[in-house]
Amino acid sequence: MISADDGAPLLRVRGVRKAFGDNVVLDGIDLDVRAHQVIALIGASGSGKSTLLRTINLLEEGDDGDIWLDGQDICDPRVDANAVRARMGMVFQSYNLFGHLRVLENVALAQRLVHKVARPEAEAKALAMLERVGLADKARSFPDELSGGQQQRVAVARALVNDPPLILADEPTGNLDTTSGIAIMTILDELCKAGKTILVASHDPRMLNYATHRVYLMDGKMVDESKYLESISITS
Amino acid sequence: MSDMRARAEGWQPSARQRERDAIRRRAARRSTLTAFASTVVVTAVVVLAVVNTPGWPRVRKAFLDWDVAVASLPKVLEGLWLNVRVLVVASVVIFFFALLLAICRTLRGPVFFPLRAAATAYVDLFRGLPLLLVLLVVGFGIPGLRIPGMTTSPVVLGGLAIVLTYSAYVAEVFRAGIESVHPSQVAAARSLGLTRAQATRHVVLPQAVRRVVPPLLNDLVALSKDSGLISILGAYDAIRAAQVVTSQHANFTPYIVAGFLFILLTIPLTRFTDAFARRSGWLGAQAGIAGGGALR
Repeated sequence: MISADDGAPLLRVRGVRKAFGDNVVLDGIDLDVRAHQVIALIGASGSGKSTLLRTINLLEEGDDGDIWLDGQDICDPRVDANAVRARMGMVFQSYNLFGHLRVLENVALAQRLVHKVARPEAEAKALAMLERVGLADKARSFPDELSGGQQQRVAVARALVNDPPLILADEPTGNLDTTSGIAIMTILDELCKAGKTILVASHDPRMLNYATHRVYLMDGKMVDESKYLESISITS
Repeated sequence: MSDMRARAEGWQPSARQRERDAIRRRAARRSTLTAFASTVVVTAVVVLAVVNTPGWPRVRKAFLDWDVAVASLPKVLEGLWLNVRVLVVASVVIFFFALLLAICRTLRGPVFFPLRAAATAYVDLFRGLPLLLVLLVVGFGIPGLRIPGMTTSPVVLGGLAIVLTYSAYVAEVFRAGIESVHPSQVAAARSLGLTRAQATRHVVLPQAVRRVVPPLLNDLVALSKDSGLISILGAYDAIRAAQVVTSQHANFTPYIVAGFLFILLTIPLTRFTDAFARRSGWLGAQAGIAGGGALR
C-alpha cells in the first residue's frame, strides 16, 4: 500500500473512522496516495469504499483520524472545505449531472461560481474538456439526451474543469456497459499519463489492469490482498 | 396500432392477431356508446328533475333573467378587471415570499434555528386560519389601529390577506419541490467546490421550481377565484359589482354572470396547466416507459 516512491504523498489518510449510528463503516483507515498513481480501491458493497471517498472529499465529516492533501491538514474545521473540494475532482457512480443545465453549462458551472471566471472563458475551457472526453458535439444537449456512458464522460469533464491534481472516482463504470466502461477507463488512463493522480473505487476487474496499485477494503479496514481473496473464496 | 405495424415491410398480422384487434375494436366502440348513453340519461334526469320542481319558474326568473344579465355585464366585467389585477400582483408577491419561506424551512444547522422556527410557525398559522377570517382581521383590524400613513384601501388590505394565506400553502409546494431534488445533486455541486448557498441557488432551486410548476398553476387557478373574496371588504370587484346590480334589480342573475366570467377566466389557466403538465411529463409520466401505457 505504501509505495516506494520518494517524496511526501499527495494524499495521506491516517486512522480515519466514520460510523453511522452503531454501524462502523470506516474503522481506522491508513492510506497513502502519491502523485501519478492510479489506486484501485477494492471491496465488497458496504465495505466503506464510497464513504472513504466522500470523507476524503469532505462530503462526510469523519469521526476521527487525519487527512492531508498536499501537506495540508484538511480535517481542520477552520480549513475552507469548498477550496479543498475544488482541488479534487469527484466522479460518481450515477453521474449526478445537473439535469436542468446543458452539458456545456454542467462543465462550466464550477469555473464560473468557484473561480469567478467570466462565462465565455469558462465555456471555452469547458468545451476543451468536452473535446478531451470526445463529446464536444454534445455541448448543447441536456444530460438526459445522452447515454449513460456519455453522461459519465461529461461527469469526468466536469470533475476536471477545476484542474485538480487528484481525481476521486466512485464506481465510475458501475452503471455502464462494457464498451462505455472501457471508454471511461481509457480516459482515466490518459489522465494519469497526463500527470493526474487517481483514486478509484471499483468492482470492475478490467479497472484493476489500469491501476498502478491496489488496496483492499473489508468491513471498514484495509486488508492485504491474500486476506481479501481468502474472504471472497469463503463467501463464494 | 395494427396500421402502424402493417407499414413494416412484408408483415401481415396473423389470424389470431386480427381476431384480438377486432375484439379490442368492439370493446372500444361499446365503451364509447355506453359513455354517450349514460351522459345523455344523467343530464336528462337532472334537467327534468330541476325543471319540474314546484319553485322552478320563480327560480328561473330570479337567477336566469336575460335582460338583467345583459344590463349587469358591463359593471361585472369592470369589476372582474380588478380581480385580474389583484390576481397578477398577488401571484408575483406570493411566488417570492413563499419561496423565501420554503428556503427558510429547509435550512439546516443550529444557526438557522430561529429562521426555521419562524417560517414553520408562519406556515402552521396561516394554513390553519380560514382565508375569510384573515380577510376580516386584516381588512378591519389594521385600519382600526389608525396607524398614520397606513392604507385603508380594501383592495390593498384584501390583497395582503390573500398573500399572507396563499404564501403558506405555496411555501409547502416549494418545500416539497426542494426536498424532491436528490441529495446526490448537492453532493455533486459541493464536490466541485460550490458553497451551500451556491448549490441551493444554481442546482437545487432551478430543478425544484421546475418540478412544482403544475401544482403552482393549480394554486393560481384557486387564487383567481379567491381574489373575489376581497369583495367582503367592500372592494368593487366582479362579485361586489354583481351584488350591487342584484340589489338594483331585485334579481340574482348578476351573480350567475359573475360566476360565468370566473369560469371563463379559469378555463384558459386550467388548460394551460394541463398542457404544461403534459409537456413536462407530469401527467402519465410513465406512458413513455416500455409497457407503461399499455397495461390492462
